[in-house]
Amino acid sequence: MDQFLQQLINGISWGAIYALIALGYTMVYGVIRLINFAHGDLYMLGAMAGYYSARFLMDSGGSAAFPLVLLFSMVVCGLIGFLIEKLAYKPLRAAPPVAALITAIGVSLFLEYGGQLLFGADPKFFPTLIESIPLFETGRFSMTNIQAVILITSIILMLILRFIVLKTKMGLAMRAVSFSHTAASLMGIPVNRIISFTFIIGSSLAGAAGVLVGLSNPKVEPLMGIMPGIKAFVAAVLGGIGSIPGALVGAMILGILETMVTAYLSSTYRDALAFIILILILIFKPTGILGKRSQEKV
Amino acid sequence: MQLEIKNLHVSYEAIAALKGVTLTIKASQIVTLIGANGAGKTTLIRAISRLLPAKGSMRFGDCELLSLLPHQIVEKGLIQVPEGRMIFHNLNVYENLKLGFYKRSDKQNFKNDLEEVLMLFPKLKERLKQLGGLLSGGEQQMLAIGRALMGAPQILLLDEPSLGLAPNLVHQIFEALKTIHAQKKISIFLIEQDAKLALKMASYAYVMETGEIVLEGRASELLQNPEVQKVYLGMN
Repeated sequence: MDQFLQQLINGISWGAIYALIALGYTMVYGVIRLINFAHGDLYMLGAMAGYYSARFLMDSGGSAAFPLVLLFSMVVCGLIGFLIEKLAYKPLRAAPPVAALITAIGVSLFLEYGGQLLFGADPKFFPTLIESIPLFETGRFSMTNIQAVILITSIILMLILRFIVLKTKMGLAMRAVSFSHTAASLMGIPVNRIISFTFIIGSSLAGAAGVLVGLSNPKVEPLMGIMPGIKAFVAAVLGGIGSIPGALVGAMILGILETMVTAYLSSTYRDALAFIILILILIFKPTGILGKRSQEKV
Repeated sequence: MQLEIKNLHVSYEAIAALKGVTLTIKASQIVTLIGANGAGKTTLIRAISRLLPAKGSMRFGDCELLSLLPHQIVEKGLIQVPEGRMIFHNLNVYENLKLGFYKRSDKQNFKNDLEEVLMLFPKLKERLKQLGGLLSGGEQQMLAIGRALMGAPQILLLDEPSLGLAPNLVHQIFEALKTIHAQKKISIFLIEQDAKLALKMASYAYVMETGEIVLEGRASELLQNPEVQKVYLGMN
């Protein structure tokens, strides 16, 4: 039982990171019906931005405060996400969807191998921003302060996102654009600006995930975004692509299941699990857990 | 201000859909455009809202609309109630109406304008918290018109408001349109399959055939025109 609870805590904190990435997938899909395969690489760039900003702060004598590093990474990733959309996807708005999809794969490869060129292919050690100490321990069961920080930061970011989407004018416009670009533009909504805004938000969340993962798994390298990117995509599909609560639910389920499989079966099966889930969900419930089938009413 | 469209051309790839349309919508006038299916009526209204690329000229006051983007057309006060209503199914009635108000800067008038729309269409008041996709066709049409009114239009562009509705609902909606026009003095550009209904309501009318205006005149005169009677009113 202790081990189960332990794994549950590990799984939730891992799921929170997946959730931050999955939210970006699902939001971007919501507004332009594109699976942005470069999204996982923004998570990598978030970790890199965190690494360099923390190093810079430490080298210049100060201490690298976690919130500062987090904020910096989010801003950098938001900006890069904005540029990716403007340069790579916007010119293809009228093209068949597969063109944008292939471009997304191209952008992903560009960021991965451009990253190797720029940062070097060797893994770097993410500076210790927070000293890991167990918050409580009972027998074999503990929760570290880092896990708590990951969880609390994710929850705060998701609450902010929820507020933006449900309570602000921008959020209302995002929901309108996700339903129909034409109908939204007939309301006077500048659709391109809303799409940019969505990319900025989604990318900055991925950037935050990059820093959070740096806290718990300090090895960062240019290809680190591939697997979590695909996993978060699976989480978004599992929850129902296009649905924000769905991304959260899917990510938590995936995070917890992966940790359980690692603990009770073998870590060899961990990566296979996500793809088994993907195959099963596509066969039995392609709309995902919370996804809706779109309906037309005349 | 009046909208002056001159020599407007629109084509879908190689096929010309509008072949030099010239048409004027005078301030606070109801103008209708009638024509058979496929004549290019919806193409024209979509071109006015800048949803389709077009060539020619389209002036509203001092402003050339062809250089603007769709959302800027709305800012100019040309607001379309599109064919098929395009209600946001994922949003509730209140949010749909709020989106109609999106581009307006006079936030203090929101409550007042909302009250007016709900007074005009009391059915919407009962359904404020319901998702737009769950409304009946008639309610959706009322919502679409109400949503357009929330944008304080100078010209209301209506594309087939009677489409797919029962006669009593059509009557209700046209009565509402008359009230709007009488109270607010906004111009209305009406595309309508029911030519008789449209000609009775409008003061000026255009007839379109295969992308060209073939006839225009006072609506009351067109109602008496034997050719119009034969082709569009089903009279012999």
